[in-house]
Amino acid sequence: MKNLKKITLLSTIFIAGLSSCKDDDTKPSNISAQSSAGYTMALKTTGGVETEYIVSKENIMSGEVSAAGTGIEQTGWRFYYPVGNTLFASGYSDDNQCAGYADNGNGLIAKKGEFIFENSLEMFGVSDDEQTFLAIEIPRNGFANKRLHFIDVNTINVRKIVGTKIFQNLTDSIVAWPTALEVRGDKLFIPFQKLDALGNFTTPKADSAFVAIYDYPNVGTEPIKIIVDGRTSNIGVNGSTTGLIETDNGDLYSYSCGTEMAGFAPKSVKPSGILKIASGSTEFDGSYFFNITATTNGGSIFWFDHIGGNKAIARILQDDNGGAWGAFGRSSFNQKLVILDLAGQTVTEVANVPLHAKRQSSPVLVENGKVFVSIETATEAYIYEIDINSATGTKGAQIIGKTIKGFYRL
Amino acid sequence: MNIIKHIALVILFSISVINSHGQIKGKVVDVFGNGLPSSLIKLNDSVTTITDTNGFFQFSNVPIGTHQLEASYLGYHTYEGEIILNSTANTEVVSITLKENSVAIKGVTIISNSNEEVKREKGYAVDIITTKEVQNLTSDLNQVIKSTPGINIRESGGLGSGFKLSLNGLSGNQVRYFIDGVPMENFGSSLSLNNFPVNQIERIEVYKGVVPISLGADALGGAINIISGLRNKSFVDVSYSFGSFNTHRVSVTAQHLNKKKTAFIKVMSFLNHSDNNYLMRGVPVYDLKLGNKIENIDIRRFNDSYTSTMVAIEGGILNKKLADEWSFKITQANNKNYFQHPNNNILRPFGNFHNRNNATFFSTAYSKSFRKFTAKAFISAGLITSQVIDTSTFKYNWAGDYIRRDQDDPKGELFARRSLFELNDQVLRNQVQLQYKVNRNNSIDLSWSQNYLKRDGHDKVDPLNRSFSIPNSIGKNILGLSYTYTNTSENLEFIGFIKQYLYTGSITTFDTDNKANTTQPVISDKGFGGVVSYKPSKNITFKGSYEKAYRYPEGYEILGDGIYVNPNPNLAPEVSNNYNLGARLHHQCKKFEVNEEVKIFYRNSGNFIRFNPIGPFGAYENVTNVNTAGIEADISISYNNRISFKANGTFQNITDQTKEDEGFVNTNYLSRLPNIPYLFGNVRFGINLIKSSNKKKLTSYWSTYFVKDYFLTWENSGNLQDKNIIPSQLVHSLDIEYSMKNGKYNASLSVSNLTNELIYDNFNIQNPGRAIYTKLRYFISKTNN
Repeated sequence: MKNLKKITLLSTIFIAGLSSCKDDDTKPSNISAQSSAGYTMALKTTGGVETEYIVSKENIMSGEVSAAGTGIEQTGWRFYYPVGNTLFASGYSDDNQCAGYADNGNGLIAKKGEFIFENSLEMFGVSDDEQTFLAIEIPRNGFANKRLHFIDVNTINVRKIVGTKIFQNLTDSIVAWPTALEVRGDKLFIPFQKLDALGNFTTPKADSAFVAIYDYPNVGTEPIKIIVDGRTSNIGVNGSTTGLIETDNGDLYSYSCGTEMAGFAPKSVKPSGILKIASGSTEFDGSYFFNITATTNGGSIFWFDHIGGNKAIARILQDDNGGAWGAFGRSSFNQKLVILDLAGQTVTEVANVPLHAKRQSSPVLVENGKVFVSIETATEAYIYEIDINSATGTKGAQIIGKTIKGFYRL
Repeated sequence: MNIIKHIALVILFSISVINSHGQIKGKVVDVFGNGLPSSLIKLNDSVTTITDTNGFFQFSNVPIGTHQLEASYLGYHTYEGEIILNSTANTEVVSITLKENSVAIKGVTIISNSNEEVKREKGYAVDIITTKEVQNLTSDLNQVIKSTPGINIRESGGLGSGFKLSLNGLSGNQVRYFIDGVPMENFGSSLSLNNFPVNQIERIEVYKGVVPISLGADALGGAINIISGLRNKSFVDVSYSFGSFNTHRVSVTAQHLNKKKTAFIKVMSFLNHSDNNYLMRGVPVYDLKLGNKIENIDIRRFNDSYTSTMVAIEGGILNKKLADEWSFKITQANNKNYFQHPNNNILRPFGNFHNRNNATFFSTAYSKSFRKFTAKAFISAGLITSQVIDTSTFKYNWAGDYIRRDQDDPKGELFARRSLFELNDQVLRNQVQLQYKVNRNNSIDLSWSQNYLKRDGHDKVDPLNRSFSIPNSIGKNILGLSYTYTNTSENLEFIGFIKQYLYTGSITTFDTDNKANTTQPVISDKGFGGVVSYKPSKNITFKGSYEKAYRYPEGYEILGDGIYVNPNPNLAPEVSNNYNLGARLHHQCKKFEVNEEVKIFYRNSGNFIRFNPIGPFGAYENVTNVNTAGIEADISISYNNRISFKANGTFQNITDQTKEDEGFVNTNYLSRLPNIPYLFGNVRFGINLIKSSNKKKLTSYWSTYFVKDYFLTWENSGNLQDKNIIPSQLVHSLDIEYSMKNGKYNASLSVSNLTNELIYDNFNIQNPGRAIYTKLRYFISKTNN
């Protein structure tokens, strides 16, 4: 009899199981639960797949920034790039989608739109009027076109795609790897590294700086010209979107690193330094060379970005002993945060910020003379607020995760 | 209550003596005098036969003298005795009464309620899935295995699609597969589990976490061994099934055994095809030129067909002085698999992308028992060619629209450059096993397995793709020693074993200067384990097992792909401490039969290999440690062999035990691992609607499968509303089976996903909706007497 009861009970459960449990279709909404107030940040967490979240917080100078119970979940590793109050999150590798996020008018972050692409978009820029987001596909090997996408910031629609090689040399088997998309007036400047066409990311022509110049917005399939400067190495670093920046008066500055830790193979024999293309000019300023190697006693510049006036914030690799691509990983903590006066050619160490390891692709957020950075040491990650004038860092919230890939205002 | 406690095994001998040889005949019956079909009878541990449908068996040409006779039947005590065949008395009647004994199957969970003859198993945490109950149904092996507690299979589409099997929380290449004891690692996609029609397979052994030394592989989380059938009968088994999505599956299996049972020949073959053109709901359409989203539509898949074929011919000698069995087998299999989209992304629909796989194997197997020794060996050599074909210049979207790419655009559908990549694998497997039965209580087993793979590859279209252009090789050697103790009353058993692993490789990669670098890693480790089973009373069995197990890195993990994955010569094998504890209850109450089993499993695993990107490059590293604690339970009830009910459920809590991640405190330390189902179960209800004197049978089954929803990434992170989720599944299916002439003619109708649910095994990847299949099967067998 016990068994009979058991059977009856199980049958009841079974039938109940059939008739219930119809999940409500929760339609994917474009509006997230994430507030757009305060600072919006792209946070990379720890553990397994290192999921990334778009989180927001009003006070980032104390406590913690974490994704616990908060944040818009992203798929895969992504590039984050702000244009005005819109944040683009672009997938990498096999994740071929880019979405634009902005405030929905009610204080929440909403996905405004999305588009797909073919090869990963790996370099980004913005038009002067901030109405067009520029993104370029860079195939890893072969002599394929790089495909420059013009994306409407309001609709997140791709308006057009222009295919260009930027540069290639079939006999030497060399292709271009762009390291910035910088619009100034009616010109688009694309600095680039010369890489082997096999996709090994070697730099057989590391010892000169190159910038391709195009008309804008009518970008052609070929640059109008390519300018060359032999005083320093190829401009920019893989994945960094600020190889070439524009200051308030229209001068353009580029940085060249040339080290093994930054991905150069072989590394450049030229000093690391900064070149200038003066306002209105489309040539390197022959009278200007900011020799970082000399000024920093053997260091090299791994990243910089414009922070107002003639100033830039930068990371200096103290040495080049971390091995190939070492500056991209978490084994060498030899980066020093500095403020550069580009016109005056001075380097000022930022006080109260430890040596760290960091690669950065998002442009920085500058507000009221302050700039925010994510500083990662061997065991900790913290937000630092940097006072530009005094070149002083203030330690803010602890980052619960690996890094903040960027700070934004939506 | 419990009237049927005893089974009498009556063996009637009629021994006739001609010169120095005689005959042994007998019959195996239960207490009601019913013959027990398919009982296994062993003479001198060397010659075997099984009883026919009426319980009769016969050994002929037996020499005069003393012989050991063993008779076993699933669920009953094994009979062992001595028979003296002398020259004067040629007729003798022996009757033996044996107690019904579920220790005889020690921890074996019988998923089907079948009378199938099952090889006697030791106390491993093993599930034996007999396929008898489902042989007339349209299922493939994956579907059958999926109904086992502790196992979850996640498929990325229809017939022939990729799948990931998880066994008590460990999955992918942490679980190893075998066919008749031969490791299937690198056998190619045309011989993966989902290709095999269920009626070609006799049973499936699932070893959970603890694997006997006879299955020689680096199985971190367990092993699945599929058994293709017995030698002891001649039979023909032909089936054809067809149904939704233009699916056709043909299976032809036949075995002929000569009269004297000294030689056999067997053919196994299948052909599978499906268009897999099931409806996709609400998929996004993007315009082909710019990539802007247009709309979401419902559309049938249009580039997902799958075709596979296999022919295996096997033949050999049996019951000879030279060998108890010595067989040779040649297997040829191939497939062509179109993909509608990558396995992890529906945003990139394909119109032509496909793979081809071709596998040819030659193998030979030998076994011989003499006195207290048993020796077994096999050698298997194979060539596997696989091609990944991404040569189309067209670009598709989900609406089925396409454009031709510009002349100078090298992009393929998936890869950045069009590609026809061909991989050639040469595999060599061999194993030697020796068993020495010291006495009735003690035996010792020794096993040596070797698994060698040589791989080279070339791209016929993309000259820039240099992966495997210099051949790489990997060899794994496993030496196993095991000791088995069984007490005289056979209610206690202990097995202890050690395994010595030796991993060697020779792998060449190119550095950035295009210079070839060859590395030869050597790794060795010692694994060990033990198994105990104890049966304090006739209705209950307890068992426990443990193994320290390893999985060695794949070639690409340890030495990279020569381009973007850097070598890591310090990569260690994944390691896991696997514990199982279980209890099995058996009740019989008049016409009710109830089996219940509860198992607790615990896995303490570490050094999980993870890809760590560094710039555009990266390397595999030992990063993650994981604990799995789980419980699985199943119950089966049958009434008078007319009504059956089975239910099982699994809960597994897999947690991240990695305290630090690249120097940081891991914020997900002790959190449940995401993207792995943690609560799932099955219910199956069967009823015999017509059963007339065993000749005609109409049976109907209702099956329900449930998986609780789970998150794609860590549950504690992110707004709940914005989290990616793999939704709950509640899927019903119905099978109706009609069989005539005692199983000779069979027909079945199956409806899967009856309520046409939108189901997902993987994030965003839809699985088929409702489908209807019919199967016709002809089966005839003859046991030689």
